[in-house]
Amino acid sequence: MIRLRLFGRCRIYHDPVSPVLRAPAQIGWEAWFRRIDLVTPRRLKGKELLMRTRGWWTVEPDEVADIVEAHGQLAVGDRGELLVELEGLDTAEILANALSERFGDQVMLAP
Amino acid sequence: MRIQGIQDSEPGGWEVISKDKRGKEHDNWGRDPAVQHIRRVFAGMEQIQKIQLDQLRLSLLDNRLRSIRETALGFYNRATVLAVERGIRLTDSTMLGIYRVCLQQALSIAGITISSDLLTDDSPLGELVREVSR
Repeated sequence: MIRLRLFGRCRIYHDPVSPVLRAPAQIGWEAWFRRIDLVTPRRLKGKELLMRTRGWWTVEPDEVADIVEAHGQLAVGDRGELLVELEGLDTAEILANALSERFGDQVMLAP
Repeated sequence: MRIQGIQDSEPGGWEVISKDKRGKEHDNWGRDPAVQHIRRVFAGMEQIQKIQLDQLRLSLLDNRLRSIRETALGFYNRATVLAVERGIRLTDSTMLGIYRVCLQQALSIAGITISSDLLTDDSPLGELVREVSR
């Protein structure tokens, strides 16, 4: 298995950028009849992190997810990187071509 | 490269994305001369990287590229600070010249041999980069 990062082009500067989860999301709760002080840190899953690129990338993340998930699995790396897990280099090249066919040079795989 | 003062204009922030009748987005940021300038520089850096990797026949999926890019960026950030301290004006071509040498330096640190006909020393920019990469 190989893991590659997923980059999209920044809507402002057009350079390749990839989201990184710097800290877990802090999930708290509010209720109608009680106060809940509990806050639970929660790491996002790969697809959830990808969805956070909406408005930052030049392309819609759900369209990216459809293509990526047909070839591999979205994941979050040890350092919070948005990754795609793939069977091997051949699959990575097939996915890279599929992304290029659909999005041109707007989405790319990179180490 | 650090971009100063973009916090207010980051996507997902205040900018309202406007679309035309066909649903195509207007590139509102593209009207800003500062954004146009940065886009030009980044596009130039990407082109330098592409040409260099093509010449070396390195796959874009090569695992070493992550640390090479990070090393080159680290050198670039330090070299541009040093350039400003020495009174060198950071024009587009100076910035791209610095980045080219930084990338070559990073490739060579990763053990990738660059043939001498591909090397662009760009002195005094080469000297600047050698200084920050010591």
